[in-house]
Amino acid sequence: MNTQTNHMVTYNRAAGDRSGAMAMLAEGLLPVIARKKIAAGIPVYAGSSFFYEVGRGWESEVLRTDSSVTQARDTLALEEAFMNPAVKAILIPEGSAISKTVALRICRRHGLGKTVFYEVNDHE
Amino acid sequence: MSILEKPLKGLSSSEYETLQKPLGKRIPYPMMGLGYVVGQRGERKLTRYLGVLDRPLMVTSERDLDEVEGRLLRDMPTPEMLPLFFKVMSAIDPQNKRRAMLLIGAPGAGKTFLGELAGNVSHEKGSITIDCTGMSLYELFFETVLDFNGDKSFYNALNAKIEKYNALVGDKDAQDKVLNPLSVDTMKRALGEAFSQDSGKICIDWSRVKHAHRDKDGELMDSAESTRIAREGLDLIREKEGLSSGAGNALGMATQAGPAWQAYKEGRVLILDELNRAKRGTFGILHRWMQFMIGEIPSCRIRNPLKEKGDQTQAELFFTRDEMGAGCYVFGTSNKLEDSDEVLELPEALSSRLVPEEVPKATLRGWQHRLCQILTGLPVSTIYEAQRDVWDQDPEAFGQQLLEWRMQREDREVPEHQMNMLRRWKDVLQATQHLAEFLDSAAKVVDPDSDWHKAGTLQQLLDDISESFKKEVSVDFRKINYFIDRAFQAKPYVRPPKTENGPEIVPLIGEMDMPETQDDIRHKLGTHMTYVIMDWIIGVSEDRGKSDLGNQLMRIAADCALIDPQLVEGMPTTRRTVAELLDENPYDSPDADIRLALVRNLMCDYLRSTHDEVRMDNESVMPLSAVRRAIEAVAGQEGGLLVFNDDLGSAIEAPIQKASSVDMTPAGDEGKVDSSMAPSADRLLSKYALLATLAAPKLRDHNLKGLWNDALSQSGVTDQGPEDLNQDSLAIAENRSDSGMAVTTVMVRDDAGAAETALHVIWNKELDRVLVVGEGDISASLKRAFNDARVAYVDRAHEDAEKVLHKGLGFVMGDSALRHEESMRKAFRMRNRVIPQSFMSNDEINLAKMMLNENLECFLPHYLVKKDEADHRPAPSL
Repeated sequence: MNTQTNHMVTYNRAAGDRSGAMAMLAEGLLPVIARKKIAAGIPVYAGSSFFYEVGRGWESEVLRTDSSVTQARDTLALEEAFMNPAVKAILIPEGSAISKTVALRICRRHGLGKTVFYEVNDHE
Repeated sequence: MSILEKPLKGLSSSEYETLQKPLGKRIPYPMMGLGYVVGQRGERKLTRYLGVLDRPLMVTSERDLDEVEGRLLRDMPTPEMLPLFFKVMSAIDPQNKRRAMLLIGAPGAGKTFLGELAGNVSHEKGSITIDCTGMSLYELFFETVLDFNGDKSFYNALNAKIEKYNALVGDKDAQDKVLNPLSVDTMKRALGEAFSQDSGKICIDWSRVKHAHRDKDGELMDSAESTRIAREGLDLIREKEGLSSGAGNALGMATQAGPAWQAYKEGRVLILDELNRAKRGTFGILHRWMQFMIGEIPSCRIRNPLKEKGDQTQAELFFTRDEMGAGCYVFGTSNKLEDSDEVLELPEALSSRLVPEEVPKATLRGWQHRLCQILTGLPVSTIYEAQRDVWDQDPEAFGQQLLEWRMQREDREVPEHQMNMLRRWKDVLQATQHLAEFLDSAAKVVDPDSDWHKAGTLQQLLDDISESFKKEVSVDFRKINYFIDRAFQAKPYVRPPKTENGPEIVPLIGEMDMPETQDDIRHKLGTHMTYVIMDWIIGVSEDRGKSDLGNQLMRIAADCALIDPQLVEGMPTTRRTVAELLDENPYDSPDADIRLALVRNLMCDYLRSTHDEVRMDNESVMPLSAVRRAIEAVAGQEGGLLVFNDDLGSAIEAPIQKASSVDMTPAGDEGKVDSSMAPSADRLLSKYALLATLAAPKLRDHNLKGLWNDALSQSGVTDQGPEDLNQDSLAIAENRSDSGMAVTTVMVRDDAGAAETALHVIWNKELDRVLVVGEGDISASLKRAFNDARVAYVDRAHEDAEKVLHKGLGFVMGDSALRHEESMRKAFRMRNRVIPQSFMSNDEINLAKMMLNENLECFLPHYLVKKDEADHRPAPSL
């Protein structure tokens, strides 16, 4: 967050572009807001991980572009993400080859707790 | 490189020091001590007691102390497991030569959890957990797997095809074009339990492929065999789907060193879960290795039984102390022999080396600890009990400390409801105590081997409970997750039939308990958990024809505040149920913004009731900042009434207005009521104007106080009775009784605006509950808000008014109903009477019947009027 804010201040001074700076600030805040909105829901406690189902929408779009969130489209990638201590949050995008049952099973297999966002299409 | 990967002999003293984290040095960490309880006559009894560590426990960890503390606070083992936790954490010290331990206990007791906790706290990569059920223990040392890296392009292409296939669910023809149906069949066969199809979508759990097949006896095949079957099938699919690279080689398989070697090299904790469920006849391979792990021998060799001549795979693994990662430790977990038919007795040579440590049974404290952990993310009950004398000195600071600890080095996205629960830690403590008592008792009732059954107190249940029944319905810690998961699922809301002579059915879950979305169930978690537990009771008892068991469990549920005893014994109670304690209540929320939002919603609903044109969302109609300003402005004001402004033009500027009252009770020397002085209906406050404020924090209490005055005692028309017999009734009628009870009647304008109408109000200040009896229904949203504000409303005109009123009186008067009935009736009659006098005198009509009597008349009316109207004439007392 701090980096984002400092970046915004520099940008503001250099360009004198208030609306651009505001847009950047908003952009920096979006992942925080998206996560807060998702955490208002109830996760499944799978092993030590929190497993959140996220409806397809702007929140999941924000997660897709969030560099601190690792995407996993198949179980090999999901296992790899779980084994990497640097990965704290994982997004399983809608349409990937991981069912919810298997995703939960993999979460339970790994003792290190992560946040797993499982994107679903509410209209399906 | 992790420090724990280095062998002990390679660790410098400063590295060793770095690994030692003093748990309990900066934070009060709970621990069980052992000591004597000394009686009054000096007699002593040895016992365990819960306190806090006075000297830190050195925890081996490459994480920093903040993280160690955060993790160990959140994942703290239950109090009964704390002594074992101390042993486990001490055991993983690299200087300890003995590097293995066996944990034995009932299913769900927390054996795996304890091992994983040690592994996750110590090493950044966490523990390696292997489920040994049905597994050949040779696989711990050598395993065969598909070579995913060598054939990356094939696996990527296949996964991409599966994604496409899944996206076309519902269009079978299109799916068949993406993946040949024969390929899908081959996948099913070749990948066995690693393959699953959910709603037509394919998923392959690739890491399960090595253990995806079972032999004809149902035992897991070795990884070599399972992987061979998978590879053959995948080779066929590769051909059929055109995913071959053209070289024509079969897909790769590799035999690699297993998890025992990985833990040894990486210095990690290895958990051999369900060790005594491993494949029969494979324990032999562990003997030498366990001798090595517990320090009996300095090294050991494990030969690869799969190695064939010319094979590239490793022939043996050579384990030696000098090379072992300093963090390497093995925890085996086993169920007790009596817990399952599938459990094997560990060979003596093995069990004597491992010296099993038994995980103690859950106690009441343990149940509460786990409940708190799941609901809030912290074991609030244990943290509190360990030094309640300190926390009680400043409960607010304790609440703040809990919030900080919950977030201390937490990487996960913490669910908001956990933080909300922590803010209400006192309620959670009370609710979890009730739930713990229920679960602990239920566990004993359904277990024929429990102390309760042994003591013979439950003999009538012996026919209902058998060993097999116990296994089916056993109550362990996992039940908590089961109940909570089910609480968040949808439930059937069924309208009961209304028949003339049929029994009255009150649904356990009502319209007001059904939120609009499933996520919103979190606001009513207590209600929904109660429902799930009741559903479980009926499911394990009545539904199976076990009525005695059902009755017993229901009695326990009533004793443990899960249900109101009145449902069992017909007696109202003042005790707060689990539902009341756990449900989120915006009215009582410790978060000021949530309370303000409630006031704002009530204001907006009120505005919309008088102005159809208001269609915007609430924030646009009335910004929260305006409500905050208004509430701050009236804070501390005494007397009068405060109501919502219904004038659209000035509502945002002044959302709250003053109102007043005119009491027609004559002053002492005036004699009788001069009805010509009564305000006309259009000058009165509307019924909704008053009711809306009775659901609003702050305004509710302010306005309730404003409904009473001392006009009756000033008037002289109310007789104190011989020897002041009516004194308490008069005090009740004027809201100054020591009993905390108050009753009155006020006159408002009906919502149609045409006439005056009476509202009878009873306030029990001790319970802070209110009953309002009026004419006509109120909106569903107001009912919901009343529910939260502990206000019950009864519509006199409703067909079931009598029944509803009795319930309402029970609610407001609690267990003091019988004690105060007479005084309340007399107090009510100080302003009201039934005319014409029927064959039954007013003295004989009970309070409920009087309130509903169609000939009821308020002969000393107390009018609530808009402020500007009140200014026209003197208000006697407000």
